[in-house]
Amino acid sequence: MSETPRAPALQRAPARGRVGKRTRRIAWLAPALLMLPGAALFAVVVLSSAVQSLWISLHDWDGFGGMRWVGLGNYAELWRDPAFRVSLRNNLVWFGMFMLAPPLGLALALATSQPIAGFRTMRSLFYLPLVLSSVTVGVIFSWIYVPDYGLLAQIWELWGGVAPAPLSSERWVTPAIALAALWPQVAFAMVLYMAGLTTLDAEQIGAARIEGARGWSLLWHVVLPQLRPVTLVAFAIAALGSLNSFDMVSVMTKGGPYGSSSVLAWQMFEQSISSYRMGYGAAIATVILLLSSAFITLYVRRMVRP
Amino acid sequence: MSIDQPNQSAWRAGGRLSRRAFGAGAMASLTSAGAFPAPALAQNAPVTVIWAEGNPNFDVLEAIAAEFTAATGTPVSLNNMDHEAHKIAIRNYLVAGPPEITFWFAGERTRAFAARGLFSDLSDLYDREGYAGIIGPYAESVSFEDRPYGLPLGVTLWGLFYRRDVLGPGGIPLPATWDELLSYGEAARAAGLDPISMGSKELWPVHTLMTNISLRTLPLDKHLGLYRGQVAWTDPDVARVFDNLGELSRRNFFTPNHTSFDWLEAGVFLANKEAGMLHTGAFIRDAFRPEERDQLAFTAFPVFDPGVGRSEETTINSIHICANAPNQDGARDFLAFFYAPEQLGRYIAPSGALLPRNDMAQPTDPISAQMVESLATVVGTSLNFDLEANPDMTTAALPLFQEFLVNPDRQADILDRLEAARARIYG
Amino acid sequence: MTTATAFPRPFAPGRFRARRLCALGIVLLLVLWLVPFLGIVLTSVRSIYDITSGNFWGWPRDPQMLANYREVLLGTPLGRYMLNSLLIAGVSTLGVLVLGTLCGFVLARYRFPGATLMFALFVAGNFVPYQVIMIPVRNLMVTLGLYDSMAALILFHLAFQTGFAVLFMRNFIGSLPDELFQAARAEGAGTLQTLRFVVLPLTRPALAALAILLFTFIWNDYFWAIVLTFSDGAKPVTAGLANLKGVFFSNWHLIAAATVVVAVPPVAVFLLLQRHFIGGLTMGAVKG
Repeated sequence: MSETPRAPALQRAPARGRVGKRTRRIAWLAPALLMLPGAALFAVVVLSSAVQSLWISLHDWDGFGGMRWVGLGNYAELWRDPAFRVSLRNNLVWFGMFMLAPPLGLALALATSQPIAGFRTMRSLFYLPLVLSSVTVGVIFSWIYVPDYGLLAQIWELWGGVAPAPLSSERWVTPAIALAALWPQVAFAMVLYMAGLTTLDAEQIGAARIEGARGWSLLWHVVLPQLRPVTLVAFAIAALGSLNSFDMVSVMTKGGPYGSSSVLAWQMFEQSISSYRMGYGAAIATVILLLSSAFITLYVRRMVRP
Repeated sequence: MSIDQPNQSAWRAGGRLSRRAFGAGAMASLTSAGAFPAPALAQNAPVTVIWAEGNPNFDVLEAIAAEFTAATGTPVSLNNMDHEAHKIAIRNYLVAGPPEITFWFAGERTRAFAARGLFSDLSDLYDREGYAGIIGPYAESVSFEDRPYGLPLGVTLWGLFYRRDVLGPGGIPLPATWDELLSYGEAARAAGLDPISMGSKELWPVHTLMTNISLRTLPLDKHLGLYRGQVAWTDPDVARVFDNLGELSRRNFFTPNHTSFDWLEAGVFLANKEAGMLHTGAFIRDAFRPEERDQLAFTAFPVFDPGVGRSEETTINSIHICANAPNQDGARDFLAFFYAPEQLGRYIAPSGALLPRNDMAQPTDPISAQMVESLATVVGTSLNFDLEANPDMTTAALPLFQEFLVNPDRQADILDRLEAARARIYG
Repeated sequence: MTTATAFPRPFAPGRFRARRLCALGIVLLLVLWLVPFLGIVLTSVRSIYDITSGNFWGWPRDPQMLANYREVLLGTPLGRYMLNSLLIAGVSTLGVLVLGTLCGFVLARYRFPGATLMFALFVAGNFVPYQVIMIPVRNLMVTLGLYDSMAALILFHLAFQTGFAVLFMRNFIGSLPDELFQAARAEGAGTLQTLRFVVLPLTRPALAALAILLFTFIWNDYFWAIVLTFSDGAKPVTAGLANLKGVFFSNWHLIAAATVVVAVPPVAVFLLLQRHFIGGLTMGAVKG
């Protein structure tokens, strides 16, 4: 079903002049009202909670009793904390790996957009990783990595030799976990690009083809610029995912071996929930927000640029 | 298939669904159940229970709750929760909307909430039912400032499990002393086995092992002092504990790459005869195929120093009344009913743990009998590190224990870091 | 729509071999892609003893598929939990679509002081980690009297996911050509009419994709389920079925079966809505 994306002519155009002034004066009213419910809800639930947590980060608090003011004490302690550096380093690795998600998602979306029989079903199968509970995905990937009994170990043995144990390696544990989390992330990017590919301007493509553009250059010069909004969202969500990468770390290694795979979100969870140090955990959360604010500023500026 | 649970028992119509979720009155559904003798009974305030112990006992708990409702007319609302989720949820519901009854852990876990006034003081219930004499030493594990804040449930003794067809008479001899342990290690390695199966990913197999090693090296009060933050980690006696554990690690006692393995996989190695022993509790039974279960055997942890009195490591679950719950009387009635020998026995039996009441007959299977005998002659017991230490200390220390197990050469550095954490947390 | 204007270029009608090779390649890729999922399905067929004896990837020694799925479907209050989840995810998704489109539209088409800041705040909200707003949000729900209810979850997801939806919809609406809006204004369309006749038809693929993603996120949410509810009557399926995890060892075979069952509704939503953005090859020009 295709629709002509043309705004249908309205039955009755209001007379100009007399109405003009009134509509101009209340022209802002309708948009403001439209925004109000969403913005209000968001502000009350999310923003105020975030501000509260900023306030909590300036205190020493166990979540139950009284709060004790420590000012920037939590941040000072964080700065000296070796576990914090490990977390930061690991988040960088996650970030790097997650930046692969949009290109891979685009590749998948392109690969499955041929009008070949059965591709529609296949597209939905590529989407599967996103709907599976992250706990189960984490366990299955652990079972891929586990020495002796894991899939990786068994395949390695077919070629002779002993497989490495990624989840025991201080060096490889983080990439191994990030790979498990990348799986649903790519599926996510794929869905975004599938939507994006439907908005391509056929005329532009046709014109470019007539001028001799083919394959890669067509992709790079004509298609990708049109997909810019999708790409920005995909990268934003990938960045978001890499900073909030709690689930997989929790299920697969609990930050181990001995803290080597800790990420900021995990450390914050441990401190807030397991150690009963809500203030310190809130300080880590503020750091996450600060890091992402750099990204947010970049993103918003790109979006708002005319 | 209807929405409601498949096995419709009379009490369930009033019990299972949360009233708060739909704001509907519970009384209507209760009186329609028709199983109660007099309409006046429908006026009893409900008792809400949150349970998060893991599956085997839930059916029994449901049955017990049903019997309680039938006997007293008080409806019971049971809520089942994931173990990990519960650790997060309990911090919310104790403050925001507590149930009458909750299941939790003994030791520091109980003390943490008791100190904050979130658990009810049960002295009155203890007096009414005479629990002090019945529970004996286990009462300490659920007490705070000499007042009871809960009741102990199943007692799990920790020790070494092995397969009869691998170790013992006819196979490699079981170690009973430190030297025998070392020669056992060599014999096991020579036979192609991991001497002690280890899966340290979840961290608790390490600190539970460390607890037994500490109990064999230090006198009980020093051990408890260490665990409760009163003794410094840089104390020379404590170094001996780490020397012992480090020695086992250097002699390759443990499964290679154990940081990749869950406790479950460690159990797999034991079952598949790839390891000689596993340090764990009786719940390992459920991981063995039924036809192989009689191959499983238990031996107490070896004695390192005859001069140190023998203490054993236990974990104890517990049941509590939440201080801010509305129906305190109903909660006490339920607890008294639940803790009666007949009901308590049925509840604890599926988990294979030992019973906390000395007026009840302990399970008679060989492993349990051994454990009972072992506990009868101890100087004292200790809970594992997680249950004895402040939660903040636990978060800091457990990864350090794991790191030590993998890198025993980092002993000095690790002890320093432990001590730094202790100084920060305990002051 | 000719092949010359579609991207990527579809195969010419006569090129059977190329078409078949392509299909084969995709199938192989799909199999590789789904290895972990196949692992989950395989696990859901095993008995617990397979798992406790380390047989994670081999052929199940004593397969008990029917027993596992029956245990999950009938032995747990799965029906109740799934209905809760459907209610929570369904209502929240619809609500967020509305709120997100409205706010995204305003932020995309109207310039006013603070617009950029508001947009930045919506984007920033996405980066707020759950754990740290746990207590403030819980307190809010207690104050509103919604603690331990589905309404609490719906309210939270409505608020939080609106941030994501605004991020998403503002982009899409912002990329619609100006001429359309000017044409609408020229014909005298007001704000609401512009929304209804210009924005909604054109953003249908985006809305469909967003609906799928929102439904999936909310359906799979575990953290807020355990923070804001504990009664069976209010619990969504993620929290409800986590009960299958034991203290010391978990019934991974049942959890795997539950994972498969619980994945069905989001996949169904995907299948239902995907035709809205499969139509890419037949979609007409964006320019009017």
